[in-house]
Amino acid sequence: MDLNVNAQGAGTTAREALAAEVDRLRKVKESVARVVIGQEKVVDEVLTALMCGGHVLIESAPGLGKTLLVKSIGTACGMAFSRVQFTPDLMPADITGTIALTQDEAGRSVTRFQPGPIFAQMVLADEINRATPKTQSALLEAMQERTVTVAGKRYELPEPFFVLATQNPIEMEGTYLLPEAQVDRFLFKVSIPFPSQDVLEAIVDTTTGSVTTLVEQVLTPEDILRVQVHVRDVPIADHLRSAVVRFVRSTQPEAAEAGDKVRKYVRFGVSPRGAQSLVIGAKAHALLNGRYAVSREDVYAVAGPALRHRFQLNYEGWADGVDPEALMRELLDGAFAAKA
Amino acid sequence: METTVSYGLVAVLRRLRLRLVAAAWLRGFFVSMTAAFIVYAVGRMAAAVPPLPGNRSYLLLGGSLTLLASVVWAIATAPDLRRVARVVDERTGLDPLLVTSYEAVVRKRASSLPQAALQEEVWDRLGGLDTAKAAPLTPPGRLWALVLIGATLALVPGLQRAVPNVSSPDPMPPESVVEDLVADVVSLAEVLEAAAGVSDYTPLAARLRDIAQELESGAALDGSVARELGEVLSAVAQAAEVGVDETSLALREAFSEAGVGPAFTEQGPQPFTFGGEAQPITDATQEGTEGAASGFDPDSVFRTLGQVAAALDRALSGQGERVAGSGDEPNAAQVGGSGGYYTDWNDEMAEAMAAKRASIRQRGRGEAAAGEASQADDAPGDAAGRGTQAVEAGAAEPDAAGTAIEEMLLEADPREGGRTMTYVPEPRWEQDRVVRAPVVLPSLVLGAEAPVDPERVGAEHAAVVAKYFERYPDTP
Repeated sequence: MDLNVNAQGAGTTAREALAAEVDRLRKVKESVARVVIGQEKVVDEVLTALMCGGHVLIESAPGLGKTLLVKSIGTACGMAFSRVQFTPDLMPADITGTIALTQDEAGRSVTRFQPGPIFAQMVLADEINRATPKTQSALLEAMQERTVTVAGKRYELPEPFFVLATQNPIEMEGTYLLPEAQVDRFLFKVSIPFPSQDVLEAIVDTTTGSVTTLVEQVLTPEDILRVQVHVRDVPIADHLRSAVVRFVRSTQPEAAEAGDKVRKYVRFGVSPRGAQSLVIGAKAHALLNGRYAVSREDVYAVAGPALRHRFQLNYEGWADGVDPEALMRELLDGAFAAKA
Repeated sequence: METTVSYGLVAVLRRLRLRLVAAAWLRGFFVSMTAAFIVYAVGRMAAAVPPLPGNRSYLLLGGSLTLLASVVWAIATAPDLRRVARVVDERTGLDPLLVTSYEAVVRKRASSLPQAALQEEVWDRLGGLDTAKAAPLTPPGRLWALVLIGATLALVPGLQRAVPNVSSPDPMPPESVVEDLVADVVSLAEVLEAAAGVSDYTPLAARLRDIAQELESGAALDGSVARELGEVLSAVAQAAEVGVDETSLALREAFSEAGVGPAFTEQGPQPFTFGGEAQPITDATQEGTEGAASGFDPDSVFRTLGQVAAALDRALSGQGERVAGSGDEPNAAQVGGSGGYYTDWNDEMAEAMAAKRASIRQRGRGEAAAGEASQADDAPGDAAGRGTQAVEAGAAEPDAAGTAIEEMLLEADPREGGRTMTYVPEPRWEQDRVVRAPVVLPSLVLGAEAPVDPERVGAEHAAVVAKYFERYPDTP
């Protein structure tokens, strides 16, 4: 399709095509929001990460609808869903799968790869911090490589592949904190706030009545893959990209661009993956909101989920009560205000 | 892939860039103009530069520099197309569609669906783009206000004059002020020159003429000029207080001796005074002299010049009218104005003085001619006739030299009993004080050697004369 010819002639074909995709994504949001009550922002961020092809780490207290959220999005997008409850005795093979001895049709004993729960398009890794680091790294390797190697054989994970891991920030006993290097592999870190009075009442009504609200499928996995391609094609202006890079550099305590606050309070700054997450998240956010180019507002909108797990304060920062997100926003302002 | 959209986008951006450059030039011009105004205003406050109206060359130079600076600034800051796109984005709320689209065009990456959609979006938006908003040619209101403030500071004379002049001794007043000043100085000089016949104001008038000439030739009007004017005014004021100077008294005596001049009345020589104008002149000059002495405020000095000139004019005119009213010549009908009156009066005075000198000389000639006559014919009764003949013979010499001869009646020395005698004026070469010795000396020698006419010796002196001559027995 020669989009430029269409642009000259009919003039709206490219926009119409993209608008149709965006409309379907909006319908996913609306469909999920009917079930996951009062969490529109969380739904939006998760859907944005899905459009980017990234994974999401959700941090919330128990019972706030994490599983419901993942199930609903999976259903709306027509994606195969699986859930893994991480426990200290969970082994990597329990996630990735294992070679099992079985019998074929002829009755002969054969070894066959038995795929684990990770072989799904949408995986909920519940309480990932309860598993041992070895198990965690097995999951994180699959998330990064989108392949699983078992007994020397490499298995491709299905596309699209979306992992939504949760961790409980309250109960830390018997948990294994995820190393920063592994946390960095999540595109977004989403916090689910405790629902407000009205939202909680609505949740109680919806979940205790006889009427069950079902999520309808709006997209197909192919649609998701196509949207993921479109997201990567959304252009970003040079000066915005430069501002993102300036910001990321300014978060490094050792960098020359770092300010006094960063040097004093920041343990480690945003990684290059953070810059990637910021840009691609902004692209998805722009597209999800019907725009065809990244704006500064898109960058700011995704800065929280894209950076909060990549920006760590040191002990002095925590002791002085520094708000990391406020500090990040301050650094963002400085980066965008600076002359390109 | 170059498309119509791409070409259109670039063309639109180029047109917008032209408007931005023009707007930058306008803005730069306004800023430069404001800066020039402010610099000028500060300069005026510091008394470092003269007022605007008197310096068209400064205005022209400043305007040209301002224009040049703004053009250079506009060209030097002309944005590239990417910058134009960013500026328009920010001003029209397209941020960052235009610049993103332009970058996609430059990198030829407009083939993906989002980028194609972006091009369409931008193309549609450009159709309704408000160019006046995107690249306004009108400078913003704050700039206008700045220019107005600067112009007010620079042009309001009251503000400029309100600021004390202490830092610079050489301010330049407006051209009109200089012209007025020159006119006043010349006027005062004319009055003083007109009064030169009765008082010796010629040096003051000459100094005023010099000052006026310097000012007309464009010399800097500085404190030294003010001080010089102040000195002249002080001298005039001093004369006004004294009422007459010694020189004029000496002249007055000469006039009275000659029997001419407006101040010569039946009561004898009358000193020339400023009459009732002395006090106004003193008051007017006081302000100027104080202004000149207090460092610098030439305006106070300059403003008094006209007043002083007018007061002097009135004083001298009044003196002339008083004289005319006494019945002496010239009468009031001859006074066409103060200058004309005094010019006529001076001419008359000069003629009278020349006549007096001539009468004295002629007296000597007549006596010499009488001596010659008595030598040729000893008849005493013929002395007068011979004397007259001798005068006529003497007068023939210059006539032979081709010089016109005019006759006039002259009231001679009162000691001669008021006799009227015919006087042939000296030839014009003699007026140049060049005396021809071969012509004059023989008659003078003969006159000195001639015997004394007994008829001309008074009875009361006859005994003395006779006794004198008796001492010389050989004398006839």
